[in-house]
Amino acid sequence: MNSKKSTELIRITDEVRRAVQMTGLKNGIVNVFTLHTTTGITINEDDVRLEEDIARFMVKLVPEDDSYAHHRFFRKDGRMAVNAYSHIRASLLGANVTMPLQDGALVLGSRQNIYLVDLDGPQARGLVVQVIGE
Amino acid sequence: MHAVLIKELTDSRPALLRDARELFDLRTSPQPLSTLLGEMDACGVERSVLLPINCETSLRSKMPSNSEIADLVKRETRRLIGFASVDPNAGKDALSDLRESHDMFGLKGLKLNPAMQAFDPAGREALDVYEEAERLGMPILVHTGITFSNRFSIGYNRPLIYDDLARRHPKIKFCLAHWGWPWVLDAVVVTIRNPNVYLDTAGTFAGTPTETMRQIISLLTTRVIENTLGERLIFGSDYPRIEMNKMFDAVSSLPLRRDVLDRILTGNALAFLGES
Repeated sequence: MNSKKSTELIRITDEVRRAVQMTGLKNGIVNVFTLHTTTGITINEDDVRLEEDIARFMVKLVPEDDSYAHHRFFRKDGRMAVNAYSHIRASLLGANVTMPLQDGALVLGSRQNIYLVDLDGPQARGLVVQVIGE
Repeated sequence: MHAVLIKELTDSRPALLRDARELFDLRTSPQPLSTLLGEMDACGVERSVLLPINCETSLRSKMPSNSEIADLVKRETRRLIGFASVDPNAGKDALSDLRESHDMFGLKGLKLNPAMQAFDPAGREALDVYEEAERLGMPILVHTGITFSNRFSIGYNRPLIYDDLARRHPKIKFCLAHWGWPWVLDAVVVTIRNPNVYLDTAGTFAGTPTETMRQIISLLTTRVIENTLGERLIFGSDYPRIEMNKMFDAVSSLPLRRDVLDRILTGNALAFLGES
């Protein structure tokens, strides 16, 4: 997935459905997991304005301009760490969601959409979809 | 911006990824060119300069090569400008490399990092390279200031070295990268004294980009930037050591007059490149 903004909710329900169909499994549970520490996965209503609200609230809740201990030369990356707020926002959302799989279809409410939330974009991001079932 | 962790390059030449990690000490994940373009779009940057570093003598590595830079530019000719890098230790070969990069690859400027490349920036070999660059109309972007890796001595990164060079060679255009941090005042005095010297904002050293800019403003005052550096300070990001949109937000939020900010973000780079 490729985000285009610094904070962005990306609808991934269709991509998850396609990944599940490729397994051929019909019943079980589906786990969607992000491989990154500055992204989150969440399920919410598929309304563009609500997506804006969630993005704006995350920015307001964890301000960029604070005194974060993480912000120093980060030898592991070979560069300054400057994104503690992105990591904290990601922790608030969590790294995965799980949902039932029934008769080959994701069990989601009529308003529910799965979102990858990029909190440190724009970047190319990777996800894992794992299905346990039969 | 350093073109060392662009996925199209690291996929085609995995040794580049190893060198970026082990020699350039940059260990974030490679990102496709589309991420760079996305960051440019996110902050309204129209064009970016791609930089290589030729460390053939010091590290047996080109990160990346001039031809790889040219290949990347071909993918986005309207949005990317390629610079070359040559190894001054190579003597006459460095001069022919530079001519090739200009004549065959269409590269527009020269990037040098004396500490990483292990050459004396005031030495004869370097002077020959500078003079060839001037003859070809290629401005020179030199690394100044801190190199986080202690593998390299940073004596060659001192901005004051360029005062004598710029005075003696007034037609050669130098840009001192990274504000010369932490020798910011040294870099500023060299820039003020020499009309052929520019300074760039690339990199973040004192915390976030915003925190770094605040520190620099407190050292210099907005008045000095507006009235003295306003025509020779250039926006630079240091991508991928920092995301371009974060640097842009920090620089474009500086409490400076609008016309000065416009020059920092656009006009001064065009002047350095010889496009205005």
